[in-house]
Amino acid sequence: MKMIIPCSRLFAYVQPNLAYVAWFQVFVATLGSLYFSEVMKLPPCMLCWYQRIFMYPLVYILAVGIVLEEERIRYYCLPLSVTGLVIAVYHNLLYYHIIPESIAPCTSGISCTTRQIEWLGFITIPLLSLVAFTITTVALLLYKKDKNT
Amino acid sequence: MSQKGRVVTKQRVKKGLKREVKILLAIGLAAVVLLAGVAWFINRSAEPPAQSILIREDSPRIGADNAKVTIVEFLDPECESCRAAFPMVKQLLSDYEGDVQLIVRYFPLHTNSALAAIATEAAGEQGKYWEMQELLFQNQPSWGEQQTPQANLFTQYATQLGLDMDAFVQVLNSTKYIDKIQRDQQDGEALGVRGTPTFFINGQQVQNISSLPDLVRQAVEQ
Repeated sequence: MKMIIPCSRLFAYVQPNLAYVAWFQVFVATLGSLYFSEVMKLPPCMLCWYQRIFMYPLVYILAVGIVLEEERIRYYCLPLSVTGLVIAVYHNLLYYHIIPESIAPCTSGISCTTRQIEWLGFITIPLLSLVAFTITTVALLLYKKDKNT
Repeated sequence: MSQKGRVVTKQRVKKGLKREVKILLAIGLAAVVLLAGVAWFINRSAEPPAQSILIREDSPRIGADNAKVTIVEFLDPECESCRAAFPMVKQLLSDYEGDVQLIVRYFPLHTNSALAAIATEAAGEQGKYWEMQELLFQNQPSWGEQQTPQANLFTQYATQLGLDMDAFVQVLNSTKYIDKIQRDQQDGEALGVRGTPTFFINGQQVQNISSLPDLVRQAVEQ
């Protein structure tokens, strides 16, 4: 019991700020992916493009929602983040050969399973995307506006 | 209630930026700083490419062996940009004759890229490597962007050059140069080559292709 009370207090403190956590995550993901393609000149594969489509608008929609103190922010953002999450899961399954590539929709340009980056032996671009969409989605699901402000 | 809330908001706007906006700006700044730090850390820890894989013993070369400036070009005979860069490279070789050596590495990206590279090597066995390369670039619109092997056209070009056709066709149909081409591509990837043409001047990768003549001139005059 003693452990649960501080934890719930911590959560009560974090919960109203989860929209900021989500925004930080989507902003970092957006800048990071642009860094990969524009500075490091790594060509984005087809699935990466679809994930970008669902990630980039969140920077603006979340920011406007936060500034307007929109309580229903999650209803605008979850459709984007969950769709992105589904694509990211699919991409990772392909990337780690859990499902065979022959059914991958990558016909032109770079293959979605080309390994371009492997930091510390396990950090890859599809994994970063999966983590980003997961954090964003979970943060939005748990977010609740503080009634006092 | 909501009317009151709006009034309060307006007053806040007059006083300065809204609290939420300030927090977002602070988070945004923190994100930029964090990413810049990560980028700096990655660049610092990235190992400089090993020069031993930039030039291989069997790589085709033209120009003086003791030249002051070595240009390594990762090219794809089927690449349109390589075709566009070809006159510039040729001009450099004639302008700085004796000072510049060009070394060719393969980086095939299209259907007929590897076969075209083999055709140049096959011509090279008969001393006509550069002639074949030029012919392939000149005629690229005829054989490029095709989905089927263009061996017939390559053979036709070999006839134009007056090559021993039996020997040429034998090499063209063999797997003799496949390993070399694959090794070149792996070397290129390890060196950070992402597309063609990619030039290295004395080991330094050229970022902007159109700056090549200036960079070569500087290197020669140095």
